Amino acid sequence: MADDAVNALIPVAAVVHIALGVMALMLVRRTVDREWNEIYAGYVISWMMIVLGLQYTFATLLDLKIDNFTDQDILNGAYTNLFSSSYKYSEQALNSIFIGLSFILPLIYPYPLLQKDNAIKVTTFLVVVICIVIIPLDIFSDFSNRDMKGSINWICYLIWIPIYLRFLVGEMLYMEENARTVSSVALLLILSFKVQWMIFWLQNFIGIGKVYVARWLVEDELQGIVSQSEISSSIFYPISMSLSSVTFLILLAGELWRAYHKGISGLTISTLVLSVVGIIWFLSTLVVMDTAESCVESVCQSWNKSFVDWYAFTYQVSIYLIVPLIFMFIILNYNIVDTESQFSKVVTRIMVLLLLLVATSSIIEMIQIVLPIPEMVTSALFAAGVVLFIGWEEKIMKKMMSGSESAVESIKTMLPINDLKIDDKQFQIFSITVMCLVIYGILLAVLFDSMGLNTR
Amino acid sequence: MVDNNSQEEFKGELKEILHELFSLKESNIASAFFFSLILIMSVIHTFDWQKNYYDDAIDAKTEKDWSIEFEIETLTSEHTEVWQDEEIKVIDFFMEDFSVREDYYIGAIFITIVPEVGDGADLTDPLVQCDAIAGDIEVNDLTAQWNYEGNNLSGQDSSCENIYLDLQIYPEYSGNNKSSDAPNEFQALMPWNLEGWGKGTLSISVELDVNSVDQLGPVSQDEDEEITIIVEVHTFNTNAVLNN
Repeated sequence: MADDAVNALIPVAAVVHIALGVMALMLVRRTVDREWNEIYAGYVISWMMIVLGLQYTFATLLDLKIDNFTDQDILNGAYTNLFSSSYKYSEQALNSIFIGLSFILPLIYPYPLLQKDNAIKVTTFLVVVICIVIIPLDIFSDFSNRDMKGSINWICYLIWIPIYLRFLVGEMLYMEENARTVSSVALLLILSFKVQWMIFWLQNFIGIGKVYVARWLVEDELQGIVSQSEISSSIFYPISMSLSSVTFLILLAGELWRAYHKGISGLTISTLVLSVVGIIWFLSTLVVMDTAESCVESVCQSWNKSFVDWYAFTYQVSIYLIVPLIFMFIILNYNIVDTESQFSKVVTRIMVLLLLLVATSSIIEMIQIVLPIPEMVTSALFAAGVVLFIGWEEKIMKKMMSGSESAVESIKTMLPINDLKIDDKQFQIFSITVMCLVIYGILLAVLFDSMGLNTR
Repeated sequence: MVDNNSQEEFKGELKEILHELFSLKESNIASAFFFSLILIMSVIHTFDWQKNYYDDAIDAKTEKDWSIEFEIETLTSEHTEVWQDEEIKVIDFFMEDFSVREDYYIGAIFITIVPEVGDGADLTDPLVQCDAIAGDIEVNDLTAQWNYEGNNLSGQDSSCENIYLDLQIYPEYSGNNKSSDAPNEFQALMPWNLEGWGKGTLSISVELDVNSVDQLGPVSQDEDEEITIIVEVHTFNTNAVLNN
């Protein structure tokens, strides 16, 4: 899929994730009067964003190197060698840390499944164990078990869907007043973790998405990199497809049910937009089926340019822009951090403006790739966006702050929660642990590369 | 609303938490439906993958024995000019002037330097003496295999014979059929579809040193010679044939 549009957003995503993650961390460190799991969720989400930002930084470096390759370089194995370089190892090590962190978030937020004094110690230990084991195993196996590794955060479906359904039913049938706050945050959390899978919901539900996996098996071989192992592609990928598609159908049905009785909300519209994207993806796959099958059937054919642009537009926007947008919305709208103090207000404003402006400029850039709009027009559009956001920034902020509701406070009105007093030091220890894991991951990456591991 | 008693009795055990989470019958039914559907879909997709996709993909990436056959087309350009005695001239051939067909690549360049054919004595050269000619392919920015050991970049002759020079352009090109182990036709042909080779200018330097008989007087002085440079550009297209 060699095209200008592919990976165009990675450098932007790297900067945005790191900047927002650091600012969110600053806010959450100053937050005191919140439930322990809200503060902890703030820490976990902030670190997830920082780790994602670092992962995207290494992905950007890899992309820059690939851009400079000539055909002869690729023939000489430069691409293959890059796959066994410290850049790739670091990128995947950080991905492993992200997966480790994403494993513990469903355990503690919004409804904590761990409600003992040792909850933070246990979850921190879990992250450490996952990362210490997964990072080297992933590198040793040449990343051939990618879907198996990804199965670690299937836990998000298994916990957040029952939470979503519990509180949706509570709101609709048992008139639990604050239940919507919990079901909406559960829905948003699922989307923040899996939106990049859910845009393919229909093709994954019907099963034609497997044609891409078969093609990738052959393409990996062509590029001289190790393809997914049999167990990873045969067991874990089909289950991932089923989980994401069935989850989306449940969320869509839930939101439509709610919209029928309570009226349309922003989340209903978002879910409907995703469903339409999924339908278009299904139809697009039907159109490019011959190309998709070409590698397996005969000779690999290149993708149609419009198809590549569509892929880049939907996939990249969802994974690189929608995800941080959802994370920020959760942190600010669900009262996870204190936004009342002067310092917090300033930081929050910077975060909101940064995210909105970067999102606007990136989307305009992506549109420009797809549609032949002159740069003068897009620059004017961007300038208009800047003016709009600066003019409306205070209103956006006020609306977000005044409308913010704590999901945990809402749960407390419906279900009992063990009232824990957690020492702040435990949060600091968690942060230090994640920092150490990042260093551990990058150190292993550099060390393994210098030792010539997996050199072909 | 949670009453005080249940809040006080709640100890935060996992069993209690799950009991609270699954306390509504309707949501439990929906959750059970969710998990059942996932189970059914996962089983269907796993079997479908194994039966209809995986084996074909593995077969498509298993290496097979291919014969690479070359279809060669030769493009020729000729340049004739008169050299004066002890004159060195560099003749440039611009590669874009050769009309290489679509899907064809330049494999090698063969150059023939043809001296003036002596068909008999005349006043200027009564003894039909052969002149000394030296020809070189000048190393420049032309994208080619300049370090290839089989290249013949220089030649000279003083016996009225043609001088033959050649330059390998495409890596590993010989014009002969080759064999390849590759999973499919695309990969088998991949080494033979590289763009970029043979771009630039071919510069050929030719020096003339006239041999004439001084004793016969000034009339018999042979001071120049017409030399022809023939450039043959071998272009190729490849086909891969699967060996059984």
